[in-house]
Amino acid sequence: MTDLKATLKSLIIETLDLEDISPEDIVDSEPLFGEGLGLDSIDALELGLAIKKTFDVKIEANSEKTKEHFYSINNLVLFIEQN
Amino acid sequence: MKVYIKNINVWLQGLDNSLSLTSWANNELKLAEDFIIPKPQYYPKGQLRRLSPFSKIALHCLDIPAALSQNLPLIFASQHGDLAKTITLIKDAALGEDLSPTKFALSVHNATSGLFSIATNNTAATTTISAGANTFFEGLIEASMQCQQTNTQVIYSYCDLDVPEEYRQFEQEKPARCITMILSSKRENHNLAAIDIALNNAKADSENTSPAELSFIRHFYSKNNQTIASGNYLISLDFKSCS
Repeated sequence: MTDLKATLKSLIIETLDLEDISPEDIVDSEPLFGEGLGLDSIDALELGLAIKKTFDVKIEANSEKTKEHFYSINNLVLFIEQN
Repeated sequence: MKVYIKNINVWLQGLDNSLSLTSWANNELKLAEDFIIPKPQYYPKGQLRRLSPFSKIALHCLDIPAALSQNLPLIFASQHGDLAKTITLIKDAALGEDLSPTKFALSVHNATSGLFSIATNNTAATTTISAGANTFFEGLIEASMQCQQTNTQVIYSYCDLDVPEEYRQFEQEKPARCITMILSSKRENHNLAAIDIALNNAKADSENTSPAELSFIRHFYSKNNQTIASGNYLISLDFKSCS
């Protein structure tokens, strides 16, 4: 699980070109979008694609649950492990 | 038709100040093969990561106080647009891969002018032009017409980079080049030069095979008032009776 968190953080930084952010700056329980890391809707699409490609998981675009899955690193880890 | 240059920013393969551009124009300086991509200083830091080299160069040249603050119409011209980005999308599509949403959204021809208008809260009209090898002059014609018609100042921005190797068979190597000008229809103090535009009725093509935009940069910085012929137009710069 710790490895998956580290992989996800690296993936977020690499995919979204977050030059000034290191994995340690991303707090597991904090929101990724809006406040917290401050990502926006285009980032969400980009990140969704990267997660789909890397972990071979199916993401439903218009589901309220998808919002929950993408809320934080902790939620993403749970989502990927369950799929 | 005559319009006046109030401000100009040129970025040519890394050269971006009048001293170095004047040296290049006078054949005292050669262009380097490599260059550092500039960062537009006014651009929101968090959004810089989304900008491609093409957008960074174009937005860097738009860093003119009047362009950033006066809500002026923008005419943006580029023959190829962000071709380096387009080709990565085409390759992904050919491999059956999903396309990057960010790259796709920002690969359209008016993406850079859109990024500029969002960053500067500019709500004036934007026109985007691509017109083959004559793009720089055709864009200049559009900008001049809008300037004359509305009697206001306009921003004219032209940007093209060398094409990726995959397209080399269609176009010889050219330096990365960007020109942004604030154009006005009024003869006023502090104008830098007047641009005279006439129809090239005789279709007298310039013997100079240099692209029109490079001739324009060279003429501007070497204060050369000889006519540049390209496609349908003849253009000359007047440095004496402009202000």
